[in-house]
Amino acid sequence: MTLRQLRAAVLVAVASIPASAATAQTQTPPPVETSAPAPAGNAANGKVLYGRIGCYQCHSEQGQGGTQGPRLGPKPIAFQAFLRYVRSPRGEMPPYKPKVLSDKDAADVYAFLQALPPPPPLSTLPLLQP
Amino acid sequence: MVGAATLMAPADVVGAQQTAPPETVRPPATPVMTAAAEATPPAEDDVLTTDSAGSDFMVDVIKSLGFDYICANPGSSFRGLHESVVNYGGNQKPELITCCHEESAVAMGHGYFKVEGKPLAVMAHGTVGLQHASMAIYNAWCDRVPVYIILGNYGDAATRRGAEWYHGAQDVAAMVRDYTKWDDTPWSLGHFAESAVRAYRIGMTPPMAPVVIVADGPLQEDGIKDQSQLSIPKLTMPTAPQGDAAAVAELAKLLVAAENPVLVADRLARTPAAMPLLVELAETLQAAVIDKGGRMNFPSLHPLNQSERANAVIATADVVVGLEVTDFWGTVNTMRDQQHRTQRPLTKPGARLITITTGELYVRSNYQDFRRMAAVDLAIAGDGEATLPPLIEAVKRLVTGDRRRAFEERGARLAEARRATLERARLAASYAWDASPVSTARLCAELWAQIRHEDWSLVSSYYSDGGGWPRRLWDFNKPYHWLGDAGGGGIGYGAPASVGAALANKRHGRLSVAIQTDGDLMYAPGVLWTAAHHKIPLLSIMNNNRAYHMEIMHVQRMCNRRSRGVDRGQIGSMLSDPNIDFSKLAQGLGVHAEGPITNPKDVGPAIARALAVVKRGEPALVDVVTQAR
Repeated sequence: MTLRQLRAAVLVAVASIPASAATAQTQTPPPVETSAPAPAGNAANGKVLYGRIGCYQCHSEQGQGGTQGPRLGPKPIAFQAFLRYVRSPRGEMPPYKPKVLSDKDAADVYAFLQALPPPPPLSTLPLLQP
Repeated sequence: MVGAATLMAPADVVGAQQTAPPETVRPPATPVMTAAAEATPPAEDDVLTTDSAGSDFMVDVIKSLGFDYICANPGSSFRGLHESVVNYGGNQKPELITCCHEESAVAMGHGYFKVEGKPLAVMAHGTVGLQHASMAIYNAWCDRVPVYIILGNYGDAATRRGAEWYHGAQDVAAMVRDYTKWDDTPWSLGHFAESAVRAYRIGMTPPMAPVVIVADGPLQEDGIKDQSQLSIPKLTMPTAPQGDAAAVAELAKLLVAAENPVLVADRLARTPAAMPLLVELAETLQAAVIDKGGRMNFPSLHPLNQSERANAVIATADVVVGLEVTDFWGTVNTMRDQQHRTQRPLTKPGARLITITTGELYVRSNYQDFRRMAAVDLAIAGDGEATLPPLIEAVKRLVTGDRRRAFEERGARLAEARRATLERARLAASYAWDASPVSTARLCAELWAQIRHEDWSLVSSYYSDGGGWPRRLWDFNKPYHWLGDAGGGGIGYGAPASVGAALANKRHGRLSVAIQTDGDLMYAPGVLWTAAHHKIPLLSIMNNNRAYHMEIMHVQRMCNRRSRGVDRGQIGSMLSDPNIDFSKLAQGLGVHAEGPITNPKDVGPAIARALAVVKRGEPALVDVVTQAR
């Protein structure tokens, strides 16, 4: 029962903070910056990192987003804005400091996001028609 | 095995077999099961049978309250009542539902109430059963749902046998008194009748909550001395408290004059009458509505439903009305979950904040479910649903032609925003469409395609709603389409509450559908057996992300704050290695099941096959391995 009560308490604590939908709303990506080019990254390594360091937890396995985090790719925001947000998020996202995620690793994750496939055209998906 | 008391008896018997029968003119206090003792005729004053039992009268009382079902994991402290339910009561109204855990029994009552609008009864041991049940009682308390709990107890220490000491307590209900609305321990049958009816009234009067009646063991088992002295009080339900008329008139003025009023509904819909009332109020004002989902308050596709852009409409509102909102502070403010917690209002300066809630009428101290206190301009103590009719009338009286034109322009803007939100949701659902594990959007779209033309009811909790996709994509427009959440956030609610809701829907011929999460089901999966045993039709689709994913996110947050490794946050929260085979688990409990399914193309056909089973009146489960969110 101790663990169960603890889990309940944790969940109540979460519920007292912004609701899940609201949480996603507060995580507004920073403005797009186009001045700095994205560094070359290793998308394959980025895919591994994306899972290992927990990006998928809020943004889902293919970066499509969820109730806890917005969609990240394909066509992510500019790399410098991406990196700045990863280091010092303005919303609910946990920060990834250089001590635990190097710029190179961040570039690899970014490359993975760039390489994500586009979705099939909405018109080809009968289940998503109104 | 029927209970711990039976389990304890052999120890007494073994000891008795090694000693000669006592030479005494009085019968022994405990039965001595030797052959010699069995063959000895009972003394003339040794009463072995009875023609009536106190628990028969208890069943009369229970029947008078209109219970259709009584859920229980069997236990010796209520054996008298158990026997009366099945024999004296004919096992009808209430019918005994066999549960494998007291938490399941109470959570079934929780889910049942959400559909039927009336409680079911639960029997449990006063000690060991109540301790199992306590988490589910806390959920029901936090959700302001009445569950009617009858606890067996052996109060008289002079007559207790072996295990009855473990099943006896001085004050049985003490351990749940902080999160029940009322309890009593009757010491006579007349007392039982009065308190049982009183408990029903108290539990069902808003703000509703669980209640407890202790059924003393000897009171159940002893004969009735004089039936003519017993009567059952007439049950007359109090009317729900309505908000003060002057305050309602003031609110109506604010709403009609507002440029951007927002109606926020949470546990508003106490009965099926509430949704049409909220629609009428919203359409009269052409006001934005945020349905926070504590109940099924507002049609999901209604043009005024702005729930998916709640923060945006709150930010531009000049009047925000909270209708039975559990966390109004959190509706109009936000607090970041970072190392330094910062907070800020979501509303613009000068916005008028109003609440209507029965939360003002009954507050307990210890557990903090009353949430943070919000600074409001007008606080109306009363039931939200009961207060809507006079509020609608007052608003209609004040609407002028000019205001009506302004309302129509506002409504057109909101309708366009709603249309755009829906379009974005469909587009968002298309991402990762063919991914494996299956995206939660794909799962919900596949399920919706199978049920949309049925008379369906989504009976699972918001923890298992598939990342919010049902409410983003499906057409919720009937009171039973959505039942809200667990209340207290205690995991383990989803599966039994779904079965309880399905039990209620069965009578109405509705298709009960649960999006069932893996962590939730692992608390007490025996409830699937209850569904199979009692032939409760329920279509369970597993949203199986093989983790306690919310907890992974919490630990990940701690990892990141402390910057000493961000790749171990999953340890302790994964449900893999080995992966749980929910299909085999369900099959072993007598439920049709398929899976695990990892290819999204296989989801739809599997659901179709399971649906055919459910339409035959049985439960079925499809295990789909899904993405984390």
